Amino acid sequence: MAKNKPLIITIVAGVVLAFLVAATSASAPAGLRSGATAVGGIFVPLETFFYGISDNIRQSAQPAAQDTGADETAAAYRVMLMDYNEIKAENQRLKTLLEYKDNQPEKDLVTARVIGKEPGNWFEVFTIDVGANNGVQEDMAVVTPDGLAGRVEQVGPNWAKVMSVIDSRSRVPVIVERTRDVGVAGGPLGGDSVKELSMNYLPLDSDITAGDVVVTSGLGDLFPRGIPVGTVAAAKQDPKDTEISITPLVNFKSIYEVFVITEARETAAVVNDDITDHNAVIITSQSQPPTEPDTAPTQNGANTQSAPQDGAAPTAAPEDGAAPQTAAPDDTPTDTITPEDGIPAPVTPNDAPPQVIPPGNTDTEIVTPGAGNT
Amino acid sequence: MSVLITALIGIVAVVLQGSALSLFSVWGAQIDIVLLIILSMTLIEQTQTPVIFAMVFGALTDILYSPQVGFFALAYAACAGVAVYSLKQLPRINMATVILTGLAGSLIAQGICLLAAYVIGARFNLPEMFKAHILPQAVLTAALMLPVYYLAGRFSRRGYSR
Repeated sequence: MAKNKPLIITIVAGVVLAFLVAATSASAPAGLRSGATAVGGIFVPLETFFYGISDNIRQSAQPAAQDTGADETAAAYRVMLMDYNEIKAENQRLKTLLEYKDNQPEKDLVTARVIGKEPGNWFEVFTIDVGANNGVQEDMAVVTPDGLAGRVEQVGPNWAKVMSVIDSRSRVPVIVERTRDVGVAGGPLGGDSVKELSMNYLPLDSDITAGDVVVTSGLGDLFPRGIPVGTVAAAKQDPKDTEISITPLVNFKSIYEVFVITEARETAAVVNDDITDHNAVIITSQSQPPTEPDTAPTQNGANTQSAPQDGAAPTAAPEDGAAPQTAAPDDTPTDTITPEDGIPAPVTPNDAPPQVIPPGNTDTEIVTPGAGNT
Repeated sequence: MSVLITALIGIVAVVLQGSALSLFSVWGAQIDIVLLIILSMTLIEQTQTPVIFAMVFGALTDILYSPQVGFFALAYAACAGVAVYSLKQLPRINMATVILTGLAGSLIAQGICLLAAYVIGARFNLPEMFKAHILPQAVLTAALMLPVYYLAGRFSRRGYSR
């Protein structure tokens, strides 16, 4: 009996821990995880400290390896050079973050620092130093200036665990920007040194090619629409199967700072995305004779045209299928981009990319067959 | 005192593993310092104590970094338990035993992790995963077992962890 004591202890421990694994799964009540949540918060400063040290070592390793000088002055300069390179790299990262934040007025972003990563190869989960105290909640999207990083999986008072998009459990509703094909990007099946996502649930006749940009579709309300996810690395298509692999835009090997999107509002850029979804017509200024405007200019001077709610062709378009024509308030000649049959075609990056309308631009007009817009 | 020092070493090891060491990998393998410490303790003590420490350190790893509580705790505890039980059958420990303990310990721990991850919902390409991560990780753990066992042995002989 005494000889088998470790084995008995192991078996008992194994049963208890196996129960814990099952009990703390995502579907388990939040109360079961509250103890772990509280303990996790205690170690945040320690994690931040160690992660910072390793980050410094990693960044300074390259110049140190190149320089083999032995004298003290050279050593002092080496240290200074390391400091300089480290500060320069950090400055560059922070500058990029700041620019990104400034360019996203429609989103409430909480800046977070990565302080830890799941140590094994089983999950792609990283820990950040913001939590419920900063307004972070479960299932909020996490982004970097490069694109979508993942979503918040667990939240503590001052920390949160983020499931990366390359985690094998991750599923992200996406849309291919060029073809507007909707699908689901899933985490890799594991093992690849370069982590790639796979895209599933695509139409068999989809015309996706390598290099196409994939963004979040907004379906399911989990991720705000329009966040870049990756680019198509390879597309194998045959009548029976479609196999698409996506290279994520975020480099998960060197991820240090991220943004948690605590709130995303629909704005002009997003509305534009809607418009392309619903076969909108973007009317731009061209050198053609003006016609009578159908509607009055809006406050910013842009001429806005109402659209029917039933998804029919725009009111501006004549019933005979001729191209709808409008006039800008300043009588600038206008023209429409529309197919000959009068049914507007999807606007894709290859022909005419969706345009964000700058305030006060009187030469640009949007007509959509869907809901009325401004 | 010994429990306190071992606990402190364990905490530092867990935090190091999830923060500093997670940024470095050798041929797809990361240094599993917690497993190395647990296996070294097992080789030195050959009692049930390393099993309990394995469970505690594993639980801490789970709390800090893993999406599931019990994931690493289960793997480390089972690994330590099997190691203690197996080592008790051996007349003496030599260099080959130490290396084999590292290799087998890593494979057992990763095997349990794989099963637990599958239960949780993760899906893997097993042959690819074995080639790219599991085998390199086991080889790295086996290679690092000797120096870690040597250091732990010296540490133990000086009475720091008694």
